[in-house]
Amino acid sequence: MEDNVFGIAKLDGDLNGIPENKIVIFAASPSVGNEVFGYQILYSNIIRNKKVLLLLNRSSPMAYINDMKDYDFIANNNLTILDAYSNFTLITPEKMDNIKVIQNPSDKDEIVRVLLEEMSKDYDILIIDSLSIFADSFGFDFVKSLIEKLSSTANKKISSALMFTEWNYNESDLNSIYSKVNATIQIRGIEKRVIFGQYFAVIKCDWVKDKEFSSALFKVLRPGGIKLYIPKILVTGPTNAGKSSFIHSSCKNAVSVDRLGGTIALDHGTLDFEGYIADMFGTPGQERFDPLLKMLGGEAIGVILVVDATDEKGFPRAIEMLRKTETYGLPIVVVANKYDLKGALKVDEIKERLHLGESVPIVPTVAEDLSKIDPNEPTKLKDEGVRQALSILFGLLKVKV
Amino acid sequence: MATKSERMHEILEKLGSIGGVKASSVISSDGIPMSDIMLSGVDSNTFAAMVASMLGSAETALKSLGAKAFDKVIAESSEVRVIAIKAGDNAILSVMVDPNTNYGLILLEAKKSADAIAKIVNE
Repeated sequence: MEDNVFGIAKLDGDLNGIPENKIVIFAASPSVGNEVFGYQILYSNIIRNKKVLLLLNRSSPMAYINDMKDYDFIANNNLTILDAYSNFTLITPEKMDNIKVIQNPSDKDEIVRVLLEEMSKDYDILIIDSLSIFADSFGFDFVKSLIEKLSSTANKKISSALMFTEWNYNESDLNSIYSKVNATIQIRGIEKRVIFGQYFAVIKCDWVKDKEFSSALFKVLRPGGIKLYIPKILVTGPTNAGKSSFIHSSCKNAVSVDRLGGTIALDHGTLDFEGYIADMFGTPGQERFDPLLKMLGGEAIGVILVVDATDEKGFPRAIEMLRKTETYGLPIVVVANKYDLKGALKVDEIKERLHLGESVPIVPTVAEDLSKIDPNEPTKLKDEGVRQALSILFGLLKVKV
Repeated sequence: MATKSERMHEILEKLGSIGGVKASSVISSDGIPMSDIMLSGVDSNTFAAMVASMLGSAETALKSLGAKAFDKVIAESSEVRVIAIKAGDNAILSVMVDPNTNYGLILLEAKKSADAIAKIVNE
């Protein structure tokens, strides 16, 4: 029998699904939801004919099932729900074969008794939504003992996925829970006035050895559920400044559509920088390709503006390109390329003449080896400047793992 | 002896005599118009750049699938059909065709013209 799955390709790939008898906790900051992770696991397993047991204390079974429908996740007979919510709220619980009502949900012993009894049956996976409500109602000692009971259940094949929201709890309480589970997946938002992106990261996983986990940005689609989202960084600037060179020096797999030494459509590369993945798109520089600029700039979250430090005449064009790509105002780093060539302006002079404002960082870059420059190929730039520019840009994006 | 661009223009004129051909142009592979018989009111600079961009992107896409050789792109709408065909490594022949004509013959003639243009460009 194959393992239970997360239903999220990145997690299933990194962790090989959820093996038998393992407990995974999804720890979300309060600003982002974790319930969709529950829907995704639930649905992905019931359609594989796995028996799923769902313990609910955050919403009523019907509200949960209806919300799932918004994502196109339709419940079937493989799902059984333990309702520890309805009798709390004095809503009359629905009477259905697949829904079992816990008569007194404020009695923690009854919850544990009913749960363990049900778990001992032929289930493959247990989902609890949500564990933090148990922590609020019954305290952390209860949550710890609950996790211990889950791992020592008589049903040795059942694995568990626990939804947890990190309200303002103290650190030692959180760690006491996380140390008892087999894997912890953190869900966080990147906050910049408003929530600007969400990501999840595997903090620990005891069944996968010798592997580094990278975090992954995601978006929640209705319908569709959790989809990984690869942020886009635009590289633009005047002709012959070194846009393609910058992309080829940052990304191993870069491709360019160029003819006779100039980019005629776009450059594309996948950036893998300090555990972060981003798509890099480079624009052509010549004016006759301007109709492409708006399309290439769409949905970018940050910009690398490459200018030729020896060519002040190109600066107004550089600013014009920010407008035409509609990226003016996004986090930006200016790369002053060819900084070692004769006639190159100094960083301060570039700052003054580019008129982008005091706070915009300018990073000099130079070719690795001037004797190897081929006008028809992107030039390899020295790593140091390229890394510095990327690191400043990611800092501006406040992408922190 | 006629100049290169006169000889290219001659090839385009011959191509234009085939039924269904509305216009045609020779473009450098980096997107600059070299010779054309265009429809009136068309910005041939932008058109040339976009055709080169389209052909270049298609070629990169196909090569990423492992294709070794690349030939042409055909773009269609209900009003016009554009055939962009490689004329060697340095030039592109683009032919605008009425979408309601049978264009087998046009494709064949366009290929011959593209080969002739490639020769002129590489002289």
